[in-house]
Amino acid sequence: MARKTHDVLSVDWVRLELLRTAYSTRGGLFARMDPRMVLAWYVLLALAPWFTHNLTVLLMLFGLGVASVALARVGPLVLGLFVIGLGADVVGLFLASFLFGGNLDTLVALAELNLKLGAVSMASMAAFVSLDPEKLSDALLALRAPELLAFGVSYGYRMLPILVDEYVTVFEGQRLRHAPPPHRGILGWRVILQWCTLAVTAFYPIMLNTAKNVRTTVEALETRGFTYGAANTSGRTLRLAYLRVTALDVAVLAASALTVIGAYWVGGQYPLHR
Amino acid sequence: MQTVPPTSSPFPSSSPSTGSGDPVIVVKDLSFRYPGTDRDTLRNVDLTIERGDFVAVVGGNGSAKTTLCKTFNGLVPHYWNGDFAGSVHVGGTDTWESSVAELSSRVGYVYQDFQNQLVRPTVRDEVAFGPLNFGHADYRERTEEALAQLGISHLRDSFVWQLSGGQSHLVALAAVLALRPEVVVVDEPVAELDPARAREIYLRLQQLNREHGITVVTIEHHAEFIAEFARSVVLMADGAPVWHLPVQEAMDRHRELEDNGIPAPDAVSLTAAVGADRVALDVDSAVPMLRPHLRDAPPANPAADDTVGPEGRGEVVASLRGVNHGYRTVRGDLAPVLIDLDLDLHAGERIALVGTNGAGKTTLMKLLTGLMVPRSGTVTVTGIDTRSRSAARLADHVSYLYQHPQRMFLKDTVRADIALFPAGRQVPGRRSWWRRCWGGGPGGARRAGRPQPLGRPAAPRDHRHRARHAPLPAAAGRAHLQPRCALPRRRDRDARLTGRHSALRGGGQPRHGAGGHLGQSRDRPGPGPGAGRRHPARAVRAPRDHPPGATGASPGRADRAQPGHRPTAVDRRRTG
Repeated sequence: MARKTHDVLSVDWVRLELLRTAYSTRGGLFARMDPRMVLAWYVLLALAPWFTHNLTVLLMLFGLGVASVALARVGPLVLGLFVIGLGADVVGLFLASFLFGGNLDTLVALAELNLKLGAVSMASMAAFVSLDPEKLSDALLALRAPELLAFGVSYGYRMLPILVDEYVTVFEGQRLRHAPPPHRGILGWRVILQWCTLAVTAFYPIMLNTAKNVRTTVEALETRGFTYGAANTSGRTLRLAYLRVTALDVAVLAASALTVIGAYWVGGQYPLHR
Repeated sequence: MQTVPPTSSPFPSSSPSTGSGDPVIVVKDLSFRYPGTDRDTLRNVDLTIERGDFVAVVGGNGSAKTTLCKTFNGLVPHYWNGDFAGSVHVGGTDTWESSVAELSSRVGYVYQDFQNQLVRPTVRDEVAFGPLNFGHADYRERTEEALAQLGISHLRDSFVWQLSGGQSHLVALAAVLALRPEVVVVDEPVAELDPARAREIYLRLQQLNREHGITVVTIEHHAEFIAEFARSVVLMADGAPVWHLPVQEAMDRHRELEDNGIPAPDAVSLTAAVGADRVALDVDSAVPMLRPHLRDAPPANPAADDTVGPEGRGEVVASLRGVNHGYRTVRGDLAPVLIDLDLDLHAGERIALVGTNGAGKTTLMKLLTGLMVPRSGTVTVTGIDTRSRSAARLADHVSYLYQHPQRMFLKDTVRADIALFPAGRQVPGRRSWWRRCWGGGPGGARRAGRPQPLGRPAAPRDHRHRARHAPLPAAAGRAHLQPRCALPRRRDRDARLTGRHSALRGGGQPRHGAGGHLGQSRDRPGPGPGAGRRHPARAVRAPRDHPPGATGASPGRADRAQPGHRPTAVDRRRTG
């Protein structure tokens, strides 16, 4: 089997997708909004499905979630993982119930839970794909989250690409220096097993390296007034001065709220229960 | 400006004539000892740095250059606790009485591993981080000013992980400049950069020094940069300055520098070789001094011509035909790296692959090792098309050393790490090879001199690649095995710890157990409060918040020891 360079479903693709997702390079509706309003919008959509058992309402909220995912331009990796996750959940629950004497009706019975989960997950994807690290940490800061949490979020984002690079390097080194299994086994299970083992053990050197690297970071933070800034609020005020709620923010939030209310109203007119 | 040498120094103290007589940093009688060690890292240091000077701090491994520079911005003693005696004044402020935060707006520090110094996702945010933390309302102007000073305004919206090494260094420097410091300390800028980028950094530093009057202190091993850019040189040895001289006088003492691991640049060694009283600092001034010694070129000797025709070479071991390769960017487009490349590598050749960042050097290496296959074209290594074999199987024929050695350590101990390849692949002859390495046979260990940490080949920071027909151990490459063979007593050490020390402490050179704080960090891997020490609370936070006096230590400077006895940092510890 000849090897080829793949542009999708390769390690490099996963890396790029992670970056695109984390740094919201695709733009989209919510990326243009004030980050505090994005968080407010998220809270609205994440809470709304939990107050009803009415399938009509849930179907409409699920539709709203689909619309937001499209508007936020969520990338294929995250979307794919979501679809696989939700699908596996449905199939898994169905199989479990089937083993214990259920039938196709069980699927319908499970629809409520899965619709709720789906709606909430899609709102999360739409919101967090649209928030780049600076915006997210500023929004947290503006909402009075502790300085350390806000910084940690942005630092995590900053480390992500570096850690991914380092992981790929270590993993490549593992592949080169570990002997490949002499026999592939049925369906290549030996190869897959070794691949999985290496994928896990590659984390070990990274953890040690990171522990070392972070030492400089902590010193540098100290010299650049991080602890000073945490104790003095003038920096926070300056940092957040740019945050403005615009007409777009109000419009999006109002439209979403109206849709949610509308969904509950329609659900009241045409209730569908199990 | 004066430098009192330690008693062990054979050289008299001397004062460089640069500077304006306005000291910005005054170190008096400073000793410092890291916790958990029985030896002072800094020993009775006296040093004055004039405002507007461009100082190169040089010295061998473990001569406490970095520790000295960390006393300038208060990281020692406010962040690194330990026994501190003597005083450091920066712009008239006693660093002991001040805090890291306060001193940071006077002294900026760019680390050797500057990549880890970048803490925010975008360049603009990174540079504005310091001014924002300190609540400077003009943080935007400061950011723009710092970016403009270094000519990197166009990078302001880039993410830090998109930057090349040189750009990252400039951003780290800009982030420091945004606090408008009087002094900038740059720790070994050359260690992680290619020569052209390093020169660019130095040109920027020179500009900052000349046009903005910023005092620049660099820790440096590369004498060509010192000769070209520095105004004065501090030679450190064994925790104290040996001398502090203007650069001309420092270079005149090039033998002494050489003894301390700083080989003289060509201009200096050539003009010294022709007997010049004052050596030339750069090529331009060396030319007139060397011209009288010119001889006519000898007639070309065709036999000495070492360019050999294709028929005289060994067989082809690797060949690339019509190879195209490139990477997808975050935006989704394809950035070509190798375009229609044809190349043959012959057995027995030694090839240096040179080029700027992004020229495709690493890509070529990875194609040859089979870690990647080209988008089009073929790569054949020892007769095997890389498309037909996995990288793991190709590793029987090709081996690859990474730029960052610490990323190669996969096992706990040196022994296990080295055994990984030959044992896993059942390489014939591995046992005898193993004995030769560990047993300390006639060659091997002894010959290599001092122990070297794992994975640091003789010429560091260099991709090596050797394609061989023979299976391992030969495939690991001679240059690779040699230093590894020098480790008989370290076989059960933690490979990664060992490598970490060397990688962090050293510029390019392995520095193992060289003293200094990181040499000790195996025992105490963080700057946490020292249990059982005299100053338990003086750790991460600035002492203003947690004055050491509050922890029970009595205030007041400890008495100096009797004359005639050389007091250590512990004898005259400063406690309040």
